[in-house]
Amino acid sequence: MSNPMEQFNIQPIIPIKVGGYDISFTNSSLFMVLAVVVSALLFAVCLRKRTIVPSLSQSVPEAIYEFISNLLRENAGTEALRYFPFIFTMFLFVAFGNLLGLFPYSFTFTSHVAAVGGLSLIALLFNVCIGIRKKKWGYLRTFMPRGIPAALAPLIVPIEMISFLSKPFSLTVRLVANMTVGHIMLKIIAGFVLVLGVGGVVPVLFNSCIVVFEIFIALLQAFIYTVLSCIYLSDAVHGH
Amino acid sequence: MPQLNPTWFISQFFWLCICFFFMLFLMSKVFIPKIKDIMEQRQRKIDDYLVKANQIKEQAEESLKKYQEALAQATADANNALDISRKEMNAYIAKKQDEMAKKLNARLLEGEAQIKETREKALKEVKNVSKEWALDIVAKLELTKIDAEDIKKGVEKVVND
Repeated sequence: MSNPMEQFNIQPIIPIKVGGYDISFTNSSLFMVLAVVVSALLFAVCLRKRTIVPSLSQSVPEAIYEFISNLLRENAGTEALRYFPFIFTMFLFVAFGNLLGLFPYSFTFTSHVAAVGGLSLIALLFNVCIGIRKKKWGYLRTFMPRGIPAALAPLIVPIEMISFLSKPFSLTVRLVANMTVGHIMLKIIAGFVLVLGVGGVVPVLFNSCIVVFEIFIALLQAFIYTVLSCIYLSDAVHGH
Repeated sequence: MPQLNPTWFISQFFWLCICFFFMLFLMSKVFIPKIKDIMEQRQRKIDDYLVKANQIKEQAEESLKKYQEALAQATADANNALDISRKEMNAYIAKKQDEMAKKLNARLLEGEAQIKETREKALKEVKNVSKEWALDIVAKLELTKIDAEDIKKGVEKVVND
């Protein structure tokens, strides 16, 4: 039986080195590009013929748009709707990253700390930029809420900073752990197929069920990631 | 765990930035405006239909109001006409009743006069016949003490009583 962790190995496809840094185009990069290409193609095809009464294909992007728009409105208010493209892209990027990883011989870049952590870091920086633009120096109040005595600052400020920095960390760990565990489980069960011979039908059937479940998990995790990003965005827009 | 291998961290972050920001550009400049545009068009269309529906509703309400006013007017006119007709009819009936009563009265008087006349005639006739019969009886019984004048007086007394 092969090692279930092998599927997470990164293989360079086009080696690139710039200023001593390795920025090779890897299988992970390939699936990031594929996530962009597939989502763009899907939207392009679905929105090719736009009509007032939407066709089935046209209603797919519209439903996603409505869904994310409502999600953002409910969690961060109408004021946050100006940042809708960012949240919308984030949901699609994570959802397609998760879903593409479910295809056999594919790669799940959302199971990698660097990719998801990077995305969470981008979201964090985005929120900080919004907060600073809106409140200028007042944004620092995030780390020292009003009504707290100044004497408690040495205690509160580090706690608030840890809480603030743990947001991208928790986002990353949640998504990476879910994706990793799901794929390990699929791989282990798939490993039994050849070992059991004719009886391998059972793990195949079981794996088929798990794949359906994993599709659900992939979308659910993208949803959770987006909801939490909306909540963090709400903090930046409305204050702590 | 390959996930924790830092060799590919920079590469992954680099390609993540390229892919994510390119996708963000695509979505915000191409696809989101398209979806937004069609949804706004749809909303405008729905709003137009709602405005039209409201206008039609107002027109219908106005028509209903006019119809009710016309119906009330027609009912009032009909009631007036009915009242006038009723009054005319009552006047006509009263007039006819008066005429008929007068006619009947005249006929009654005429009938009574005729009856009186006939009665008087009949009494006269009875008197004459009674006188004749009395004269015949007296003649036949040869009652000489009774003359015609006595018979006449006697008959008149009996008839008048």
